[in-house]
Amino acid sequence: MSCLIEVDHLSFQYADGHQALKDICLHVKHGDRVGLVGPNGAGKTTFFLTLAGVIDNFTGALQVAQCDLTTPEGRKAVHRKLGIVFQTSDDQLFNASVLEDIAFGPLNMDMDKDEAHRRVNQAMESVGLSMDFKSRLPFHLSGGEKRRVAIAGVLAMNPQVLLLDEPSSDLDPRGRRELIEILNSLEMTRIISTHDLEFVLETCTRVILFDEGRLITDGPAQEVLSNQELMLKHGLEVPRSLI
Amino acid sequence: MKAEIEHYARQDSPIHRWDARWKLASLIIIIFTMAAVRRTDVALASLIISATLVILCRLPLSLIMRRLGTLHIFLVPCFIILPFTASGNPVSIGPITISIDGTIFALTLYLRALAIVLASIALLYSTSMSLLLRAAERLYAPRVLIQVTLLTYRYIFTLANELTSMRWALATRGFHSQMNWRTYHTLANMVGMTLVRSLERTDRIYRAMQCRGYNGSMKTLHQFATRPSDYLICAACIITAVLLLLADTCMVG
Repeated sequence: MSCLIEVDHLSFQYADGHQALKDICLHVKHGDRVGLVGPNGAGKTTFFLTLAGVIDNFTGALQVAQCDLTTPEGRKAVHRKLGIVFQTSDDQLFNASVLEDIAFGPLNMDMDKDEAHRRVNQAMESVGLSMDFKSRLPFHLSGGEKRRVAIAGVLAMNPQVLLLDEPSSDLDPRGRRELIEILNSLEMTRIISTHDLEFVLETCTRVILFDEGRLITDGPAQEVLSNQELMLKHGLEVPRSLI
Repeated sequence: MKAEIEHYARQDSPIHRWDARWKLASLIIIIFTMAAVRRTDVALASLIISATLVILCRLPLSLIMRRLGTLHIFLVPCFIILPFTASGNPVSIGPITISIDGTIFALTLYLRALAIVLASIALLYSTSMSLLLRAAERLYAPRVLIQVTLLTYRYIFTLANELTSMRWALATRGFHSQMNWRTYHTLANMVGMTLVRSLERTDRIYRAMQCRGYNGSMKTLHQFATRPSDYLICAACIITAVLLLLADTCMVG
């Protein structure tokens, strides 16, 4: 199957000198369900921001859905192909109503209003939000509802790749279970960055482990997460269900 | 923290149904006219017009009284000070001498302020804030200003929730607000922390906007539609404003 994401010797250093990503090489194919794990400060979020075209001064080669992210045109075009759900939903829901928020992406893609409405309805349906939510205000929603709206806002843009940064944080068990069901019902390629390794086991087939900006290992989820020595060495624990 | 305005903006009334652009333009004309009147009887007429608008909005009396109560914090001092300080015909009531002109001026000011606030309540509580701002954008208000206001309005509630959480965190650790340096120092830290968090949040919000294709404009799905009744109500408002001004100018003259 063809590659959707091609990362070749990717490195990035913040302005304060902190080297967040060091010589990362990896490929993600269409339909892959990847879990990105690692301790705090491993470079997971920076990697996501680089894939999303937000960070531009990296070195190496990076292609996402045929967009060359080393060029400004590529970084601009990638927004139509890749969707990112941020850790804090409040940061992502910046419009005054749920409808306006989900429609934000489609309207930026210059869709006409009828098509944008259709996309909004479709996205709300796929995350199990009833149409009554359209007029709701984002700041009146619960944590789980906010997360669903944030995902719907990204799905409405019909991306080829979905990136989720700590999607299960701040969710109660029911919200977490519902999110797992939503994610498993989606067909698209996705990368989930999280500390919740049980969540990774339930939603991903492949795991990439980052530590101190380096790619440590890349393999089948069960195999990587059950390696106790590897997990402990990089500040993680084997999920209880694998012990 | 709940957005009270949004709750009432979802109700139904002739004022709620009025197209937001026409409503904003018409009521701004009315409000500016009311601010310009100088005669007490014309100010009273303005108050009656504003009260009619509020009645048409079908807003609860308790809400109006609450809002007007806040206004009186500013108006009562004027009523106390102006009769004694303004120049004009003095009248003695026992040992106290007050100025008739000052009293009339205070009354006019009071009526005018009430009229303006009531008209503003009719405008703000009959339209959701996002729609009102979108309407202002259509009326050629600066786009950047509209976007900043939209985002401020969205995040003011998040910020308020954060401040409440911080207050609770302080209370659970035995902090009691007192008139001393320790209190000022703690509160200043709290405000500083809120500002730092806001700055970091701004960065994250901008990134989230960029990732969803933000290119300088925040488009909306809302379609404004003008009905014949919108023209009629707007014309009625303009005629009312002109009549108020004529009455005020002619009678003063």
